[in-house]
Amino acid sequence: MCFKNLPIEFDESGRARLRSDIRDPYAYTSTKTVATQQERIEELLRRNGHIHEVSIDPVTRVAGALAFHAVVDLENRKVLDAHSMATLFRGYEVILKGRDPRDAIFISSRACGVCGGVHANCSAEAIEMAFGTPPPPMGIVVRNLGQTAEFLYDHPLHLFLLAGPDYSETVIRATNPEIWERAQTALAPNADVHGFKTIGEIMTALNPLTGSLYLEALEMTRKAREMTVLVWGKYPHPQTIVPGGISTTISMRVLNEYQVRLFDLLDYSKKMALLWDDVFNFLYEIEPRFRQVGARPKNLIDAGIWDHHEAYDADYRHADHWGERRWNTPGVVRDGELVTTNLHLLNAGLEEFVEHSYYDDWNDYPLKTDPVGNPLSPYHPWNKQTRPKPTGRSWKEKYTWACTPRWDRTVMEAGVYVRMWTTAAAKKIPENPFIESTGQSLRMLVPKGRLPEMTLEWHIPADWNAIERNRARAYAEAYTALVALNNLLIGYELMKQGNTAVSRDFTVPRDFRIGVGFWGAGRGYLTHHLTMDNGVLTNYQIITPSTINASPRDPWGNPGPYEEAVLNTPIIEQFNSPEDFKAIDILRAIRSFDPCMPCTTHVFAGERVVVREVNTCACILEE
Amino acid sequence: MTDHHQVERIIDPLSGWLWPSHARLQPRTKHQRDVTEQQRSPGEQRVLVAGIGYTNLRDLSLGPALVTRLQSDQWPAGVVIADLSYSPIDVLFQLQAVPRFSRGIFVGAVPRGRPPGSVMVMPWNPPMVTPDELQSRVSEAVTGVIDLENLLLILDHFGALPDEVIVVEIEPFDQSWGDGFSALGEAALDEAERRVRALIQQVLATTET
Repeated sequence: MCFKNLPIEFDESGRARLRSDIRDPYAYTSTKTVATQQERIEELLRRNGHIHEVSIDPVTRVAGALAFHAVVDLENRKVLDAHSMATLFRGYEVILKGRDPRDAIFISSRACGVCGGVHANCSAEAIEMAFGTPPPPMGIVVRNLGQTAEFLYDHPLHLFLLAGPDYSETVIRATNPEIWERAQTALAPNADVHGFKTIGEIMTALNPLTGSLYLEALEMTRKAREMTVLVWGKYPHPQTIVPGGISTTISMRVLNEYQVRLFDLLDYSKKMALLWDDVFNFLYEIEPRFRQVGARPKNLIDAGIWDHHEAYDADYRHADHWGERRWNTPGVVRDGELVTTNLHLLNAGLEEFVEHSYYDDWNDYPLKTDPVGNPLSPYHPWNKQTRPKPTGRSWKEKYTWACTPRWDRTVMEAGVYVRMWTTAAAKKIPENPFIESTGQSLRMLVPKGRLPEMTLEWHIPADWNAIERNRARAYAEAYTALVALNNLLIGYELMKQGNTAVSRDFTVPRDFRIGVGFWGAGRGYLTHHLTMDNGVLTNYQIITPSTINASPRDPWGNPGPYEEAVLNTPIIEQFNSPEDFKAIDILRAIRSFDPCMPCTTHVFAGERVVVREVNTCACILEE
Repeated sequence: MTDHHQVERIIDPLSGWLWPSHARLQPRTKHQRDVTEQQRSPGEQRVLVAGIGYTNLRDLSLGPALVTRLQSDQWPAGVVIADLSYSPIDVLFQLQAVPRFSRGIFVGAVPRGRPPGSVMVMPWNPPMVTPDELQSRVSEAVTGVIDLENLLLILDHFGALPDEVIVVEIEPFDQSWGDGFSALGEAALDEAERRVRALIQQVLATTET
């Protein structure tokens, strides 16, 4: 039984249905505990000088507008309260309503400039499901080649440019000099692969702007983006992704050029996994409290990604089948156990709430079931309406533009690491020569390049925290590169067979249709749900990973993942006075999720995108 | 659509530049100016005219709008008119992959509290920024922020700016969402176009003599 909280049961043949003994099965009562807790925190702040409010606005080294508010007991080194705030409204759901569904690919793509292709792909899947137009095999392969390349860019970006500096010499020296002292002499076990003798050397190489790893990562992002452009024509926001396939023409030369760059990244992935292993293992050893930084329950969700060219048919009725044949298995992990890999059940468990968000509730409940009869909540994305209602900020009431997605009314977390976890646990990865899912790990055979052939193995971790999020992300580079290699080889084979069609014709239906794109972003889970009628969109709902992770309290008072991770974070940082406190542990916890707020929120009409004082010298040449 | 690479050239904002993988990013400073892998011929003048800004943000879109106007003309070899309204890191990669420009004219709408619609033309002198500030700008650049000042700071840090840079700033009036410009913005666009054309002619005249 995968549902514990929703009123869904299964009949003898395994079909889901609503429990008949509950009169109003999806009704709930919002808790009052949030207000009570806030009153208690306010009282603590009034009475105790060592308890401080920490407002981080904006949180730097994340994309877009994320602010974070915490209440920290500096004497006892504990976080007492935490609130995540998305400070801008996104509005794509409003913009897309009433439009031709084909527009959604290009408009929704603009939800993020970091994940510049994921929304286009997700939208194309939702639309081709509604249209009944599956892509031909080569179309699926080329989408995968572009999508793997995009992530090969995204993982180093996160690990070396955004989260990486948190573990650099500059930061460690400033916040934990005792760790830096030990790092300088601690030998790096994988020095033969990455070339750094000590942990201190790695940390120095992580220094922003000047460190060799920082600069190398910038260079690697260029190669990965070149790969993306080779197969998608343009990046970000490819114009070539269409319902029923892709509009680029793929030649042997394109595949060859892609391969040259891929082998550079395969090599890079070996180094990336092992150098982060060295840093993180050292930190665990020297300071066991790092296991608590960013810790939260092992409740994780992922929609899977990268369809298999022989399985995907864009038909919701078969989503349970083609979902499980993806190169990353979809799934839900609850308390560390994989409870489903079935996209129908993943979809049926989804709800979005707005109790603590700047939106009004809605009353419509048009879709009681999905196309195969699974019950749907009135709060399901196919039933949700986006009704913005900005108000003043109140921790007891509303304080963010992010909604509150939940699965089975449980706080779930999204991330690339979830993909790794579900795929490792499920043992359902398509047969291939490079990756093995063992049930507890992902074993990856990375071919010889400049570095020798190497087997990397990522294990489902015993602890779940900031370090393990980042470690999984480091191994995800190798995993992603191997998915790319598998698809490249399939592409060569299809080409040899003359099977080179990359798209299929379609017509825009005029009757009522629904569709959903199950996909993934650079930071995990992504879905687009749509309904359409008379040839236009009647509803469009996007759930991004950062919406899930940045979500505020839910109706039952449970904090969202960022909030929960920060609440569990000990203060390891050394400081002499409250003024010296840099909140690095809180920031490590937040950044480990790789927050990307543009897709959670976006510009609201009338507001500027970037607000900053400019300081360029304005010496006038002529006027 | 006959060939993938044709597609790439058509959509490439810098008229057919590909990204050769031999162009490598290296730590460079302001004092290491001879950085471009592919050097231009001695005496060759290469002029980059770039517009920077978001589209559909009314007067804040004046930089790219000016580029669209200029691109409708035929320009002599060595003059590149480009919309650089994308990640400064990607612009850096592009600039490192081609012979270095001798002159750069960067145009954008920048709100500084001057009279709306005013057009300022000035040489770009790098401001003092701390490493932390610069790292913040890089973080913004890789996470989607498009900004004239970010672009100049990042190109300068990595030594990819043209030898001489002139900035043309327009003070926006209407910064709201939407297409088109305010009347003041429209007039400023005409004025900026006049001045940029004059600047290009000055450079070309210098080359001829």
